[in-house]
Amino acid sequence: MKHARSAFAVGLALTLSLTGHAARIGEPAPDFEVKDSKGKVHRLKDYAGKFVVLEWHNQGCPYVKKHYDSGNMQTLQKEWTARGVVWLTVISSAPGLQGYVTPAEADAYVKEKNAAPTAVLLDPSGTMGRAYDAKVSPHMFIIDPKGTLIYNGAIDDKPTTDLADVPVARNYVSAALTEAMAGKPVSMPTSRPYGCTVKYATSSH
Amino acid sequence: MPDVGSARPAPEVRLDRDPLRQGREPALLRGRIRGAMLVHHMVSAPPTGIVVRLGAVCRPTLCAALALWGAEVGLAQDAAPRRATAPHAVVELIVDRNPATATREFWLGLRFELEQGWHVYWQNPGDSGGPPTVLWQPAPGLRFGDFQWPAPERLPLGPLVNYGYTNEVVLPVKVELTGSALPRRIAAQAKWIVCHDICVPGQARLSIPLPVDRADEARIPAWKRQIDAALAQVPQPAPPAWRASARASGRDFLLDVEMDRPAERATFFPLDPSQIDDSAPQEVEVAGRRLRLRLRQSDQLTSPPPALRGVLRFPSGPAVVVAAPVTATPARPSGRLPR
Repeated sequence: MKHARSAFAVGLALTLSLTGHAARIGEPAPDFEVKDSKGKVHRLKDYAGKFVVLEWHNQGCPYVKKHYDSGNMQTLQKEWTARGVVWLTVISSAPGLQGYVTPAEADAYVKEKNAAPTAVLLDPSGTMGRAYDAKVSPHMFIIDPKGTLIYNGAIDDKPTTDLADVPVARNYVSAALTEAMAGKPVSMPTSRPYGCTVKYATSSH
Repeated sequence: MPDVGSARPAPEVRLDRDPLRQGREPALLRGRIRGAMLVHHMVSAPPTGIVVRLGAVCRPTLCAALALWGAEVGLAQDAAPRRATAPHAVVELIVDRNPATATREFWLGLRFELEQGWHVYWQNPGDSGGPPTVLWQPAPGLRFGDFQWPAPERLPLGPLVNYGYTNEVVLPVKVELTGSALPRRIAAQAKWIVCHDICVPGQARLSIPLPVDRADEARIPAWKRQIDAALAQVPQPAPPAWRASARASGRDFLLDVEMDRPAERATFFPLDPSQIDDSAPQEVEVAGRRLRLRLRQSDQLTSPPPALRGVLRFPSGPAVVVAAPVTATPARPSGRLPR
């Protein structure tokens, strides 16, 4: 029964992915039901009333390393969670592929990098990734307190793996959150996400 | 951690810190250490990245000694190799003639030989990745043009699609002679990301002496063939008689091209990112002289672009650049495209 339900979930996500545009600006963000590294289940609707940031992650990806080795991602996580934002790091790498981690490995990474997301969601089936059409790590999404998608794109305007670009980059996530939390429309709700291809399970597409 | 001064700028091999290599010693770095030229860089600006990596091959005292030696023998910064071996790619500079014999211009090429299954990217990389870049060392008497990008391939990876090159590619650059004397050497720093199912960033300092080395002179005819072949793959402007237009249709764009000859099937490669969904299949219709492509709009698109600009690649013959004005359809207040 449980198996049948997860098969249905995968099928549903696949349908969303094939029809595309599962996550468009101004529309309700797709719900999800994914366990974090501690075993706790997270659903989008649990966070009604809060801003939610989704950060697609793969610790082996050089574009992700740029933001963790520079401390940029950790700074963003601390800054925005301190202001009440829910920050979910999502790992959609399939077992055996780059970035896939066990729950313990996910926690060890958070500790080692001094990262501060609200939780690390483990999505090895790719269900959540495909529902959002997350293409790369780091692909960033922002959902407003009503559950509407208000940002879908890159973390910043420097699509490189070069650490020297971090201090001079314009951070799109901070810009969008700043505007949205001040009650203003997000002036740049999308950008081309840059990074490494999300390492989805090949059997489910 | 060995460290010989970490706070100064790191112009060189910063990316070699990448733990992706997982203990594999980068061949490029090895080559440079042997050539001692890298060590010279350490004297002028110790790059943190190098120092970290060098820890594996040279202790700080030894590094310092090598550095002093490098400084004493006065190795020029521009004595970088013409050809470098990096993880999953060999990268080199080639020319289409001996620049010493050129009167007004010549072509340089940045050439990648890629390991089987690995790719580098076109100017618009598609769903992920990024294009190679090059920084030319300023050379009095020379003016460097931009990369001329040969038409790419569609490279599916899982559910996503990239635009790039496999096996080998030459990115030609036109060099104009603006003065009477040639510099002794052309030097460049190239950076790229090379991907298979995973990605590895790379960079190399490369240089080519003017005139080219004796040993390389015999290679020039082959280099010229490679550069000419790459230039033949560079998309040409559409013939003036062609008419291209586009309009939104639901969540797709319909791109119509009226040609001055019987139309052929073609693949569209967008020049601007985030206009079309790179991974969506392209539906192609050919009727008489008209080619129609149905292209899925990108999720990242919030208002209609003024034009769809891109490259049409045909089964044979040169690829063509089209700029199709998008028929005005006012965006809805939400910023979404009309369906």
